[in-house]
Amino acid sequence: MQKLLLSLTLITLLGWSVPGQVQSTQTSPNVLSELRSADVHDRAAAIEVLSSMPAEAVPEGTSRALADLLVQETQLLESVLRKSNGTVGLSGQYGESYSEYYSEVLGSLERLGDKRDQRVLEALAKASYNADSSFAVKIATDYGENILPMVIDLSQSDLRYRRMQAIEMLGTIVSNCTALLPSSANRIRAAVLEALSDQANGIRLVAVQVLSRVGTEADIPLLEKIAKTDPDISKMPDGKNRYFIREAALEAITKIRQQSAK
Amino acid sequence: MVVVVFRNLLRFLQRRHGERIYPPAGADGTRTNYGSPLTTTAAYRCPDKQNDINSRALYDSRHHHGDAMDWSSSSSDTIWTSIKNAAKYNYACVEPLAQSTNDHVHADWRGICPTGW
Repeated sequence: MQKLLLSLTLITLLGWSVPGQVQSTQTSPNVLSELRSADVHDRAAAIEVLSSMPAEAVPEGTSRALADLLVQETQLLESVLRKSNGTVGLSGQYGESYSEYYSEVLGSLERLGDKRDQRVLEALAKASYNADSSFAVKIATDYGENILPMVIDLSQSDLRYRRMQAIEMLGTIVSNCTALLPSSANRIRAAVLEALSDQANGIRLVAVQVLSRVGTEADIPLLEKIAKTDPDISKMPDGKNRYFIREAALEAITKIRQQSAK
Repeated sequence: MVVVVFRNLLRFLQRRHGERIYPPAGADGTRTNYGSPLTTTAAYRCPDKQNDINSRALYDSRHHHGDAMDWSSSSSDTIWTSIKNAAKYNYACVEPLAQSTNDHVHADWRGICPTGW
C-alpha cells in the first residue's frame, strides 16, 4: 500500500501525461505569444491550455488572438484546396490530426470569443464546418441576421466546397433564426434558387436539400423538373446508378407537400 | 447468458488493449440509410501503423481507437454529401468536406464531436 502511495505521488510530481494528448505546461502569460507561434505544436498546446482555463482567467486580448488564428488557419485550408484544385485538404496535406486541431481552434473561439466583435463573428461564420453541426445551428440561431452577409459572401467563393457549405448554412439560418427579417429570408431564397442551376453537382444537391426546408408549393414544378432531368449520375460499387439530386428533389416535393397539408 | 458474458468479456479485453475488431456502432446503420454498398478505405489502425502514418500527430487518431471509418466517395460531391447525411443520421461525427475533400468521408462515433463536425 505504501509503495502504491509513493508511486502515485511520484507520478503526480513528475507530471501525468496522457498519450496522444497535447502537453499543457504553459502559464497564461505565454498563451497569447504561443497562439502566434510558427510551430503548430506550440499553437495546439496554447489552445489546450485555454480549453482548461476558466473564462474569467483568460488573458485580455485572447478573443482577437483566437480570431486572427482561426482566420489564418482558414486561409491555409483554402490555399491547400486551391493549390490542389480541391483534391487535397488539410488532413491530406498535414495529417488528419490537423483537422482536429482546426476544430479545437474553432471551438476555443466559439467559447471565448467576444461575439459583439465583427471580426470574431466573421472568423466563425467563414470558418470550415458542417452546416448541420451543433456549432452551425447555434451561431445561426443566435447571430443569424448578423452573419447572413458573411455567409452570402462565402457563397460567392471561388472554392466549390466553400460555396456548398455557404448554401447549406443559408438553410440552417433560415430554419433556426427566429429573428430573421423578411427581406433577409427573401435574400436567402434568391441565393438558394440561383444555386439550383449551378454547374457544380454538389451545390445543386445542397440547394435542393435546403429548398426542402424553406420551399413552398410554388417551388414544386421546378423540383419536379429537377427530379426528371438533373444530369448528375453516380455509379455505385454494385454497378447500379444513383441519381442523388433527383432523389433529393423527390424527397423535397414530399416534404413540402406534407408541410402544406398541416 | 453465457454468450452475453463472453461477448462483454471480449469487448472489455479489446478496449483494455485499445482494440475494437468490430465496425463501430452506427456503421451498419449508415450503410442501410445510404442505400448502396460503401467502400471502406480505413477502419481500425494499430498503434504501429498509426505511427507510420504520422508520428508527430497533434492528437490521437480515432482510427487508433477503433471507432472511425473512412469511406470512399469516389471524388464526387454528391456521393460525399449523401454518405455524410447517412452517417450523421446515425449520430456520427463527420469531418467537414473542405478538410477531408470529396476523396473520402471520415466518420467516427466518439460521442462528443469536435466543434463544427
